[in-house]
Amino acid sequence: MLSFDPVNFICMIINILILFFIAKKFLFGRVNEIIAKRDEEIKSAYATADKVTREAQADRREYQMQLAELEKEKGEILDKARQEADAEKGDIIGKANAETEEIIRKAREEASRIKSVAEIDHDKQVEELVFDVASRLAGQAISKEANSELYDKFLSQATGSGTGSDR
Amino acid sequence: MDLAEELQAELEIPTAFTIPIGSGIAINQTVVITWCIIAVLFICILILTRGFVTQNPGKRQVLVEAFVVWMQNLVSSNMSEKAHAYVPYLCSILLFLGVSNTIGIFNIAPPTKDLRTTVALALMSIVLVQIAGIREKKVSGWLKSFAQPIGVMLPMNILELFIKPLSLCMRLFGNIFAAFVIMELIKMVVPVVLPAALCLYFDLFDGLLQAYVFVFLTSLYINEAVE
Repeated sequence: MLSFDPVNFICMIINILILFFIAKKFLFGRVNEIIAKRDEEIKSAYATADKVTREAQADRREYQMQLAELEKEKGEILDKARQEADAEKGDIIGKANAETEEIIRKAREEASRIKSVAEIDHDKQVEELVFDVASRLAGQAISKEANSELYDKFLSQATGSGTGSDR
Repeated sequence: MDLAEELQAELEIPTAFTIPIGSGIAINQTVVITWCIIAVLFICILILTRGFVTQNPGKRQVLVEAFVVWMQNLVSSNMSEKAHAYVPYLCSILLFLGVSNTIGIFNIAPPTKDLRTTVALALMSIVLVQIAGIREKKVSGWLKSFAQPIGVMLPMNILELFIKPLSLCMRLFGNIFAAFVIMELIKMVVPVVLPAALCLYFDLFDGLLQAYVFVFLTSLYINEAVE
């Protein structure tokens, strides 16, 4: 029961050493290797993710800068266009005003010329009418009623001629 | 056959076979059972660790990894960083003792019931402790450590060199041997029901506890040697 023989004792030591090498190589070695590989992969994935994030942030900053530049450029273009449009508008309005004034001036001149021509025509008509009436009065005896009728006719003709020339 | 003789017969370690060299080398049952344990563990390890992958591991791999990590943490929890190189050895011993101490459940005599096994384990552990000390402190530092903290402790420290393995092996042997004796006695007195219930304590709980105690003490000694 409590006997001690060296052969079996040495066998037990060898057995324990064999078990140790088996466990170390095939169990702890494999498991620790897999865990270490996985850690390495996770670290690598984190490093890649960090790198991609940094690149994305840099791209975003660049994009924002480009956007700001574009906004600035857009503002400048709009300001320039507005200024050009204002200048052109001023020119167009100036030209239109000048043309309008010219047209009005010409129209006034024409109106004035027509008016003077009409006045001359009117004077001539009155003159002819007076001459006509005078020649009639001088050429025939006229009754009181005929005389009165003649005056009325003259006056109506004179009034009609005057009104037409005023227009 | 009376109870004492029957018990005596149960505690004997029979010879399994004899190697016909010279006057014949007797190989006892403990060594053969240990071979069987090693073979079974080897096959289990090969099957369980087959096709391990780093991504999307299966349930088997997750369980094996969790078990190994748990065992390594259990052993290394009371060891400094410098002593972590000895964790695989201690885990192997924990595995072997865990299986050896609980094999009584299958009505097989535990190898740790044999004094040769516990002496071999204790001797290997204490040699490892001294190797750890020499590797860390060099030979001069290791020799000086026997006279620490004061010179007068030299005989005590030299004595400790023998006491530590002796306590390790005797504690393990005594517990497993006692559990075996108690279980045999119970089986003789009450052959049914009671042995099954008590087997859970003496073979399973006590066996695993003693395996942990052996490894825990060895890890403490190694840690002490490298500090």
